[in-house]
Amino acid sequence: MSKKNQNINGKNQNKKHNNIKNSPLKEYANSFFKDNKSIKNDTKRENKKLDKKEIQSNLSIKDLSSKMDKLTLNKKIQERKSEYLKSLGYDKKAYTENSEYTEYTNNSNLINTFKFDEYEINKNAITNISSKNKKVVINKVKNVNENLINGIYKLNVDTVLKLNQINKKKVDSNLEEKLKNIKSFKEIKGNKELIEKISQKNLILLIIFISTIIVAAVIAIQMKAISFIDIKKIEAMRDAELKTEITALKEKNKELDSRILEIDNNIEKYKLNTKENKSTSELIENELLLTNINAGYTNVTGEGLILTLEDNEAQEIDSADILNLVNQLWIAGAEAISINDERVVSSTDITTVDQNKVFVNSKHQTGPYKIKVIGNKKQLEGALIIKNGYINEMLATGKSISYIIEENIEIPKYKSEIEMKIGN
Amino acid sequence: MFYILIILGSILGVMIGRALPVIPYTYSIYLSVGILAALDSIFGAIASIIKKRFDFKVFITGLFGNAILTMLLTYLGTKLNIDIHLGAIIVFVGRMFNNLAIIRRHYIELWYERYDRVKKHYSSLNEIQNRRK
Repeated sequence: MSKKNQNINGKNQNKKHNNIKNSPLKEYANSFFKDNKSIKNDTKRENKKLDKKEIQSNLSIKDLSSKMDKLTLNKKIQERKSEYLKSLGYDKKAYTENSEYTEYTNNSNLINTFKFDEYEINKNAITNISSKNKKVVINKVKNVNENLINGIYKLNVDTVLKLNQINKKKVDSNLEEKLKNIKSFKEIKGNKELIEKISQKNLILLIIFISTIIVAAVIAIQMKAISFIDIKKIEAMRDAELKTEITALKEKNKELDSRILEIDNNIEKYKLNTKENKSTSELIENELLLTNINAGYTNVTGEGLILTLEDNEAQEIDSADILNLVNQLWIAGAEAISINDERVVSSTDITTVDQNKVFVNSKHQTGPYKIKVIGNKKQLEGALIIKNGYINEMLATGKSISYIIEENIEIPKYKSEIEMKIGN
Repeated sequence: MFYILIILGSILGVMIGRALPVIPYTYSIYLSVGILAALDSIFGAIASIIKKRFDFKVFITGLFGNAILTMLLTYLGTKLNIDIHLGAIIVFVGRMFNNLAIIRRHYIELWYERYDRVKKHYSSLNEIQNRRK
């Protein structure tokens, strides 16, 4: 397109020079007009083409405008030339009378007119083109913009929808979390109440458990304490048995009284016998038997108790305990006593040696100490069992003692001899 | 759970009591009186449960408080040479009998009601059978 325009211009220029050098001017002018028409047609076609193609580059417009500027510059230069000539002081009339000058002026006028026409035509073309271009461009831009706007709008709508969805999800999740929190809070509250209830119940159960343990332990302790002695016996003894004991003692007193009488009678008999010297040997033999029994030179059998004193974990049996027991038994009316089958006689010693070893009849004895007693079993038992009596005392100090009542007990005789060396 | 705990506790208590050293006979009266007080409060608790006015605090304080109080009273009795524990025994045993009577009546009523119900049931069955005949 631009090339064609250039070609057109080039042609015009060539023709111009020809016009100036050659004559007749009118023909040239006509030819120029013709050319102009053809140029017009060309321009129209080109415009049509332009219209058809609907694309006009800005370059063409720039070229045209630059050419226009050149034209305008030429005009200005000529004007300045003329002004310069005037200032030099050319004689106008002389100058104008010259034929060559007239020709020149005519030509220049023609050229000017032509140039002006061309300029106008070009201007119109340019304006047309530019307006069309404008329209096209505007339309195009509008379309593009509309498309863009539509696309952007659609995009925006989509993004907005998407964002909304995301937000909704977020909000929903937040709500769910909040609901969960509320639920969990309620659960926690309920759990707390439950825990309180359970703890209260557990506390009650624990207290009951502990109290049952305590009560059972106390009952067990009491039973254990009582199991050493038959408590019922002592309870019964308190009133009835003590009375019977008193009566027994009274009877014993009576017996003793009668015995005194007997001994008195015996003394009288001795006195009589010494006078008569009859059957004294018999009496002496009887006396010997009795003294042997009392002194412990014979085995004795009869009813009585077998007591056993035992060392336990807490307390050990002392010789003093045994001595005390023996004394108590003598008081209670024991006839014969043996400790671990060692007969207790008049010279018997019951001592401790080396803090721990118990010696009876100068022989080392070890626990359990079996103490056999022959005598009235009821009296013996009563004397030991009585409240604050021997057994009670022993239990109170934590020593273990037990006894059995037997009908037939055999106590062995004294194994060594009682010697008299100094006394008479 | 409750009964298991009670049984376990009693077994444990007996074991502990056996393991502990023997107390002297002269002090056994205190323990016996204490046991009596404990038994009295236990029976009282059962009776109050039947009457529906059981209070746990009252029960526990009675269980230990009465025992300790009676022990103190017996000690005072030994010092004053009066058998005060006899009074305690009379009171506790009397109350125990009262409570036992309450418990007995409650269970008798229960059993009697049950027996009545069973009787009615069987009589109705008999009537139905008779009608069929």
